[in-house]
Formats: sequence, C-alpha cells, structure tokens
Amino acid sequence: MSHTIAACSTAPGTGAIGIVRISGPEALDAAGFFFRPKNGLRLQELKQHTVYYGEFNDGDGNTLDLCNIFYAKGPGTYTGEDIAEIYCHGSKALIAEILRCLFGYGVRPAEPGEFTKRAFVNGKMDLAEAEAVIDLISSENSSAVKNAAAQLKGALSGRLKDIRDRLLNLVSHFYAVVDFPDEGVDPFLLDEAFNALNVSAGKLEELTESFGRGQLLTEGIPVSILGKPNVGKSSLLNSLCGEDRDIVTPVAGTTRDVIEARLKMSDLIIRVMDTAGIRESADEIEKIGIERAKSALESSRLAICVFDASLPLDDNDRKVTGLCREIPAIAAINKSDLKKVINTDGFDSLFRQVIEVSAVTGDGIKALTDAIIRETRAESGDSWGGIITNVRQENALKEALLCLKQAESSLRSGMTPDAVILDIEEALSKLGEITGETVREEIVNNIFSRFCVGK
Amino acid sequence: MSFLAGEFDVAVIGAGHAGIEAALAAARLKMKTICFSINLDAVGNMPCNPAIGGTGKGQLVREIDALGGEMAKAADFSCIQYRILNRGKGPAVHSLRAQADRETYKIYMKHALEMQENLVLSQNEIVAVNVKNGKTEGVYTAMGAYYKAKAVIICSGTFLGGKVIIGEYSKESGPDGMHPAKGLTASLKALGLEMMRFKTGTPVRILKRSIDFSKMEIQEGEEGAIPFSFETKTATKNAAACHLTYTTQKTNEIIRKNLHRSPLFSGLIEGIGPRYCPSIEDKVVRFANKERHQLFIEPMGLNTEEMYVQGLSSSLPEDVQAEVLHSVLGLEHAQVMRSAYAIEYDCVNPLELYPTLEAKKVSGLFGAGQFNGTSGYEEAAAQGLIAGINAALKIKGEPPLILDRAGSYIGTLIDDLVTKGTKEPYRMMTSRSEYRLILREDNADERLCGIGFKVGLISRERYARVLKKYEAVDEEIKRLTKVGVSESDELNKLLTDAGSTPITTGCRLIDLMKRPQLSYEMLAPFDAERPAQPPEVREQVDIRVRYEGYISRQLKEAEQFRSMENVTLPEDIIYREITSLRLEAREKLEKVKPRSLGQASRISGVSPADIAVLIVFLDQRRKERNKKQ
Repeated sequence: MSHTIAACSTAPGTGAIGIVRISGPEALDAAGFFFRPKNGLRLQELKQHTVYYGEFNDGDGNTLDLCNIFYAKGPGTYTGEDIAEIYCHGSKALIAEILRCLFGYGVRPAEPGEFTKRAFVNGKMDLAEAEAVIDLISSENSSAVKNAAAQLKGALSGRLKDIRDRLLNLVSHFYAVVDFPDEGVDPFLLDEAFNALNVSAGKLEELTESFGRGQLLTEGIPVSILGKPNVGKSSLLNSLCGEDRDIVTPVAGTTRDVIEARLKMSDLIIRVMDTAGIRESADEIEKIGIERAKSALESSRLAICVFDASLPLDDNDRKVTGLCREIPAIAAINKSDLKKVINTDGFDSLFRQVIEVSAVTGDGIKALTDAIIRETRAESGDSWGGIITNVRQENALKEALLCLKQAESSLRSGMTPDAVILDIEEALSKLGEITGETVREEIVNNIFSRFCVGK
Repeated sequence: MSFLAGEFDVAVIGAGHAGIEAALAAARLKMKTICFSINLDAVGNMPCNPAIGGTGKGQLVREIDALGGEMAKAADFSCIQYRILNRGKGPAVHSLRAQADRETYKIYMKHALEMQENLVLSQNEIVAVNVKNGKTEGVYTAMGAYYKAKAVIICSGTFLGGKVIIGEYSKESGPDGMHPAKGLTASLKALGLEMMRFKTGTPVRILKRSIDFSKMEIQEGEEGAIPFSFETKTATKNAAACHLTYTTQKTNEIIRKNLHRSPLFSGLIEGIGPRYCPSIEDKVVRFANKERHQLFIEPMGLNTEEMYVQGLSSSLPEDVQAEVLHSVLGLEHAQVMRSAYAIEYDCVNPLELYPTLEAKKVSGLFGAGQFNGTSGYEEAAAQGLIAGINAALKIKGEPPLILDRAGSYIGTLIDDLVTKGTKEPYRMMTSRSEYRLILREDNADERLCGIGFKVGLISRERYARVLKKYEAVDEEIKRLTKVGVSESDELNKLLTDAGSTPITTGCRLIDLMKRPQLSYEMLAPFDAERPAQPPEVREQVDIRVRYEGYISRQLKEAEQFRSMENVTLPEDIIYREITSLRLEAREKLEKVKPRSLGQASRISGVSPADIAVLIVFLDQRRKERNKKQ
C-alpha cells in the first residue's frame, strides 16, 4: 500500500556530506536505476548492509556526483521498509538534482516525520520511543542524547507502568466490591485508597520534576554571573565564551540589562546570564536592572559571584554574597593578574568553590569552567532515563497528577467513591497517552507534526 | 413430510427473557410474530436466581423499561423484596435488585405474550432455519411444520444442545428438566456460523422447613425503593426476607477430598464457564486461603417452601453435594429438593453479529441472550428487545437501532459482544461502562425514552411525562441558583452536625448543596420558597447539582468518544492487505469489520499502534483519492 518516499536527511545548507534517504518497496530499484557501482555490477546484485562507491547518473548519461550508497532490506531497517541512502557531496543544488531524479522515477517526497511515522506504523517503536527520536534529533548535547536514548529503550514506560499498576489495582478493587456485593470481597477501604493515591501522586511529582531536569538538558542550565559594578563580569563572560563570541546574544529588548550566552561545556549546555552590577543605588533605572539581576538569579541553578582581587571587600560585595545564600554559588576572584588585596576569609563556607581567574590573561578560566560543569551536573542530576523531556509528556503527566489530587481531595471531602474512581481512571488514561496506550487521532497527528522532513 | 403451517414477519425461537422482549417488541411494532417455546410452561422461567437486577443489571432493566420493554414491569409485579445495592458508594453504582416470586413472574409474562396483538405463542421445537441466497425465509419444527418468516430471532438459552452434568452423571437436557433443542445447531453450522460451547450452573434448592435460621443473619428488604419501571407507581411491600450464612472449614475439607469426582477435573465438562460466577468447588480451589464463603438463602416465591442457596453452585456428585450442604451453618439438616447442576449449551460466537444483532452471514437472522454468549436474564432481555426492534425495522426498510456505549449499558453490552467477542458467558458489570456517572439507573428515562418513542414502543403520553419531569428538574435547578441563605445558628448547626464547615457570611444555597456531606433534602428547611416536587424530580436535582463537575466532564468525554465513533471505516477496506498492521490485528479486523475507528480501537488484539496505522492508512487513502481526482 505504501509509496516509496525520499528526502534529504541532513540539515539544509552546505556541508561536507549530504544524505538522501529513500524508503519503501521501490527504494532499491529507484536507487539502482541512477547509481552505478564502481565494480560494474548492478546495485541489486550486491550484498546489503555494505557501503559502495560509484557514480550517480541522472538517467540521461550525465554523472551528477561520485558518491557512496548503502542499502538494506526491510523489516530490519529503521522504517521497517527497504531503505537506500546516498551519501553525496553536500551541495544544495546537487541534492536537489538527485531528489529531482528520484521523484521523476516515481518516488514521492517524504512528508515531515514520515520516515519515523513509518517506523511507528511498522511496529518498530512505540509512541514514547517515537517521541524520543524527535528529542534525539533535536538534542544539542550528549547529555540530552543519553536521555533520549534511554527513553528510546523504554525507561520512561517502565516507570509509568509502576504507577499505572498501582492505580489499576485500586480501581479494580473498587469494582470487585461494587460488582460482586454478595461475594464477600474485602471492603474498599478509604485508607487504602489514600495510600495508593499518595504514593502514585508522589511518584508522578518526581517524574514531573524530572521534566524540569529534562528541560535543563535540552534548553540549557541557567547560571547567573553576579557582582558589584566593574568587577569584570562581562569580560569574564567573554572569556568563558572563548572563540564562540557570536553566540553571545542579547535577550530581546535592549533595555533589559541581562545578557545571556549559551555555552557548550563538556556534555552540558549552560545558559550564562550576565547581570547588572549590584550596588545600593538611588537611580531608578539602575534599580530596575538590579531587580532583574535578582530575578535572573532566582531562576538560576548556579551563581558565579565575581569579586575584584585588587580591592578590599565592601558592602556591595557583601550584598552580592548575601544574595547567593539561596542557591549554590562559586566565587570567581577576578583580576588575579593584579596585586591581591581582597581578603577571602570565610569564602570557603559561603561558596562551593573559590577560584582565582583573570579575564585579561585567561588564567583560571579552565578551572572556572570545570567548576561550573561539576556544580551544574550535581544540580541537574545524573540519573538519565525515565526523564520527561517534552511538553506533551509533561502536560499529560501534570493532568494525571491533577486528576489524582482531585481524587484525593474529593475523597477527603466525603465525595462518593464512584466519582473518585472516575478521577483515577482519567489519570490512568492520561498516563496511557504518554506510552500510547490510549491513542486518539489528535495525539498521533500532533506528535508527527513535530518532525522535520527527512527524519 | 413438511407442510406450510403459517406465514409470519418475525419468528422468535425461545420464550425466555430474550425471546419475550424480542416477540413483544416485534409484535408491538406491528409485525406478525410467532414465538416458539419447547414447553409453554417454561415461558419467562428463572432457572437460576429468583431475582431481577443487581449491579450493572439494574441499569439494564431500567433501560429496557425506558425503551418500551416488559421486564421492569414484570419484576415490579412479582417482586417480594427490594434491595438497593452499593448504597453509600454513589449514584453511578446504585443498583436495584428485586427478589421475584418465580411463578408470579412466569404467569405475568406468559399472559403478556398471550394478550399481545399480532403475537402467537406456539409450543414447538425448531430444528432448522431455512435460508435461500443468504436470506432468511422461515423455520422448520421438529414435527416437520414449516413457518415462513422474513426474520428469525434465535433466543435458545441453555436449551440449544443442552447437557446437564452432576458429578459422574450427565444427560442431554434443557434447564429445569426441560427437553433440549437438538437439531438447530447443525442447521446453523451449515449456514457457516461459528458456534461455541459454554457452561453455566445453578445451586441446590432446599426445603425451608428444614433450615435453622437462628444460625443466620436476616436480610430484610428496603422500604421506599423506587421500582424498576418508571410506570410503576407504587412499590410492592417487602413480603419476604433473605438470610446470610457461611460455609465452614469442614466444607473446604469435604470439597478437597472429593475434587477428583468433579466433572470439571475429570474432563466431562468441555464448555467454558463464567469466572465471575464460580462454583463452590472453584472458590475453594482458587481461594485456598479463605476460611469461609458467604451464602444467601433466597425464597423462590411466596407460595412455595423451596429456597435457593446463592453461592453454592456446584457440579459435584449428588452425595458430595449433600455433604457440602450439611456442613453449612444452619443447613445441618437441610432437605435437598433439587440438586445443583452444571449445564453445557451451544451458542454463537458474537463476532458473527452486527451491532444490530443480525448475523453478518445470513440476512434476517438475529440472535439474543445466551445464544449470543451472555449470561443473565437482564442481559438477555436487553438483547431480545434490540433484536426484536431491529428485525421489525429491517422488514419495514427503516434504518436500524444501534445504541452506543456513551448512551446506555445496552449499547455497551452489545458493543462489547460484537467488537470483542467473549470467551466466557458475558455478564454486565458497572465496571464495563466508561460513562457510569451519566448512565445511571435513575436517568434511564431521560437517556432512552426519546429513542423508544421514535422507534414506536413508548407512547406519546409517556414521553411527554418524561419531558415534563426533566423540565421540572431544569427549572428547579435554575431557581436554586438564585436562592441565597444567610448565616444563622440553625444553619451552622446543620452544617457542623453533617461534618461540614459552618459559614460566616451569606452564600448561595446551591453552593452548600454541592458540599458532599449535604443534600437537597437536608437544606429544605432553609429554602422557604421550595416548590413541592415528586421524589423522582428531587432525586435528579440532587444528583445533578452534587455531581455537576463530574457529570459535565463525562459528557465531554462522551462527546470525544463519539468523534472517534464518527470516523467510519469504509466497508471495502481489505485489512488482509494492509501489511503494516500486525498479523493478529489484520485477522481480527477482517473478522469484526468494525463500523468506525472507535469500534476498531476496542477490538482485542488491535493495539494502539494498529489504530495509528489505520489513522495513517485512512489519511493516505484519502490523500491518494484526492490526488487521483
């Protein structure tokens, strides 16, 4: 029933290599029609799962490219269908030309997400796994990759099963009592219900919190740079950025004086926010800036408090340290290239780490980077898998949690159990949406609309 | 020699609970109808429990009544004790159960059939259905008479291929010692219908005088129960009581010692029995840790000393049965009147049927009740009614009546049967419905009387009364939203006494009503302008206000459900060729031929991934059709 489809599977734009993926019953014939292996044989006569070198001919005798090809027969492939992949040179025009040839042959352009859709349809992955693929594709760093990969292996479904089983047990007990009033089934005890609801809600809460963590992985961990004016916060940010200056982007609206940079540190993405200098000020505009710095701090997982090594500590510095009491912080003693005047006694108890740096010479920047990685990793948690990373999953979880809370409060207020059970059943159906155990048309469509062409 | 004995529109085979409703519905819809029974003394018989209703079943009885069926009226007429089950667990699971005087019930039903215009009752065994070119033409009796009929409804109960088994003894027999129906199964198999063999059982009947009730707990009926039929104006007085007693350790010992003599273990029983209605030996084996089991002693009627021992179903030999019986508290000297028995019977795989209850392979052939794989009088009656209606509608050339899951238990029952099939006798339970809070016993009239009126089984007057009732409900709720109450010592005393929190400022009365501890009735003293309303109106007001949030949520879910039901699956889809479906799903879909995506999603063996495949398939099929155009 299915057509053969093709699309460019690498990011749009110019690159060293471009990959054109073909999937469907005619994948091999279509690829073999245009591709001539160097060894003179026809593609169809060659072993699958091997990469061959040869030329891609447009069918009119013109060689478009000298490139590699790979093919594999379904169902043991990603989509579950026959697949061929052409690894050509990464020119936009060339890829367009290759696709034009294939479409001329009768292959259809793949719709967004269609390769993965077919994988799902052919039973190669369940819904949670399919979603993990989107996350994997859009992962910018290896931590997010690890997590998406763990979900792909079903870690999330496993944790949800525990919760579902507990709730299912509760619901079935109620039914047993109601439907078999003469069988002497143990009574449905409210305490038992409360207990099951509490435990399940707790586990769901844990999972929802993990959404925050999951989001940190994909969107970056927020870190604030804090300090009184002129301690060198901005130059420190620039030093941390290193060569990647172009990724320093002012947050929308130039009046907001928080500058944010997304940095890749080891396997993490760190969002470093450079804030306004903290000091006692009568100036209205400056006050606003300071308030913004404080609110940036509130959303941060880590603070880097910058001090000037060449000056003694003053009230503004103490104000900065005071602000950092609530969250983990690192002290960066800047201007280590100058004569040291500052007295850092007591810093060891206030800060996780105290590091001397010089934004000018670059000394200590590596140590600071390592410290940031160490501290943020401790904050973001190291238990990969079972972590919720996308909004649909989070919404379903939150709705399920809401249902359980509703069930609990209804039960507490004396609502009859027939209604309370409905809440629990709704929670179950919400949880089912995550793993795909209740599939409604819009859920399926919504998921697949999130894929980009060629994946 | 065969001869033409008569010409009818509809022939109903069997006059049990399914056959009665089927015959009455067809005849009331102006069809010339004949109803056959192997023995006219078995019309409306209750070969098992002398009771109508119960959890899930009470809802069915009310729905049958709202659609214009007879069961509720017969149950009210013959009721000797009413009980409301699951009180305190909420209106969604409240179920009425009536102990019936078995003989009175039979007399009422037989007379109802006899008095019905367009209907003939006939004592005959039907041995074959005559089908030409896939269309039903008539039936043959055992004596060779041929009756022409445009539609035939099979309601054969446990008569069809019936075999009674007690221990090592077995005999071809219908229920209660009736003759079995022997030839019909072969005729149906020849038509290509897939037949199954199920088993059920019934407990011992004992002599009342031989029971020591002093060792038992009495269970009186409940006064003030609202009767089954919305038409019954006064509830019968509770004239009888039931008794609760228990088995003992000795019971367990006797059963364990004699298990090898049970036909279930010796392999004499081949049919599949219901898990939810286990025999006492089943219970002892499966729940080995349980020291004792509950039993209820129920009267078979007011003019008999025969008592039914609920919970003591068995297929053990007669001598072991007696030993087991005498080990029960209060039954030490009980006199057996009828032994417990297991009965095997033939039934059709309900996947052979459309939701109209017509066979897919034979036009004009319908099935209902145990023949369709269910168990229970109420389940049977519900199907009989729908089959009777649809047979008539088909003959009249009108669109069929298909009730959906979101609108009734009857719809849920039939959808389950024809979508999922069943591997054991199917019983209705409240847990089978996703929409329990809107499918209550108390609002069956609101849900279904309009449909009954449209079909032609509910009179204009009765439907008008239902409309008036719910107008009164709406009006009273509207009035309530405008009633305010001020803080007072009396009110706060009522609130704290009920376990709720007192108020400090005035508020709307309706907001107080929504507190779970309070009710419409309780707040009457603070509602001076409250008009006098009949109890059924007050009940609706109370439930609607108290469960407003839950009810509106369920209504929304029902709407969502219907959107999946409305995605129709074209009949020309060849599932065998959709290779992306899993093999099991392909086979199941091919067999069930679901009408909608919603129905497909409920087929066991069709996974959510398969449904996603179908969604994508429909989508692509649509796109490709559009491209072609």
